[in-house]
Amino acid sequence: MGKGFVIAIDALLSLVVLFVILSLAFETVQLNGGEWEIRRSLSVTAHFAASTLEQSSLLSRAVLTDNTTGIRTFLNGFPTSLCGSVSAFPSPDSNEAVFSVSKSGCSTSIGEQETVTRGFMVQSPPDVNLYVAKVTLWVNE
Amino acid sequence: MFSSSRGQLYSTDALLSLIVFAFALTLSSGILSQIISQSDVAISAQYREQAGDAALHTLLVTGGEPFYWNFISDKNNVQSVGLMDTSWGISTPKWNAFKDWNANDYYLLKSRMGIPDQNFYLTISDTNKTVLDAVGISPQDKNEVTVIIRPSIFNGNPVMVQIQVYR
Repeated sequence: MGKGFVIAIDALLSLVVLFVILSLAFETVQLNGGEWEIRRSLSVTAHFAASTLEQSSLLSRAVLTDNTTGIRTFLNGFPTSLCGSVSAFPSPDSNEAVFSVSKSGCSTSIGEQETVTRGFMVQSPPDVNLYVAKVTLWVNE
Repeated sequence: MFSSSRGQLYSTDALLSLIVFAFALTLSSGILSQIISQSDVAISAQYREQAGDAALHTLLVTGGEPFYWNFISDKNNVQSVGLMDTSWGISTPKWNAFKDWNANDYYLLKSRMGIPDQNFYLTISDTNKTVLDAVGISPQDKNEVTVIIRPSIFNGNPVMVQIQVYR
């Protein structure tokens, strides 16, 4: 009788372990898929944001007038769940930003974030200068 | 007597193993049905997201096929709908044609947007989150709605374009 019990408990234990492993694997696969989807969505939205900022001349105007209100208003238009920041640099290899502006009420990113780099022209006749904008989006925690 | 007690011992074992087996079967079927139901919801949400994303991308990044589809009176001859003009942003004439098409034949429109089996509601909001214009059918009390937002330009101003996709 004792031997019979040992076998039954062993079988039960192995089944429980199997189900725990299966559940963990399923959750991990789901979690990774979700993270990948969030990153892709952030990246695509950042590309659209960079194109919109460039084509609406908000970036070049901010450099010329040293006024980033338009960009901040644009960032504030994103839904509450989405945070973002825009920085502009005088050249691709420069680390010193001409301006850096973030969406109001957003703290620094601690989770997933995506950054898109976009070149834009600033005309100050007779010169035309190339600047670089970095648009970063992240999920509001 | 001795052999009878041995027999009883074996039948108890068999009973116990049956109970364990039944328990394991119930547990596994419960977990499996939960996994399947979660997968169905996840697959459905992912499908909506991909369909809505592709539709919004085509609207905002292309001019449609043919490019001047807004001048074609028989919309059956339009392959895909795009709102972009020659530069980045939403063309006002195409947006107006898009609205007219929605009012005349919503089902053909969503078919040409690549989402024949879904419903959509598309809004353009300014940066103060005021809705400037809307096209489609509002989901109202639908539970499973996928929302996708992309920035663009409308009438020279930056706007947020939002599409809600649901079945």
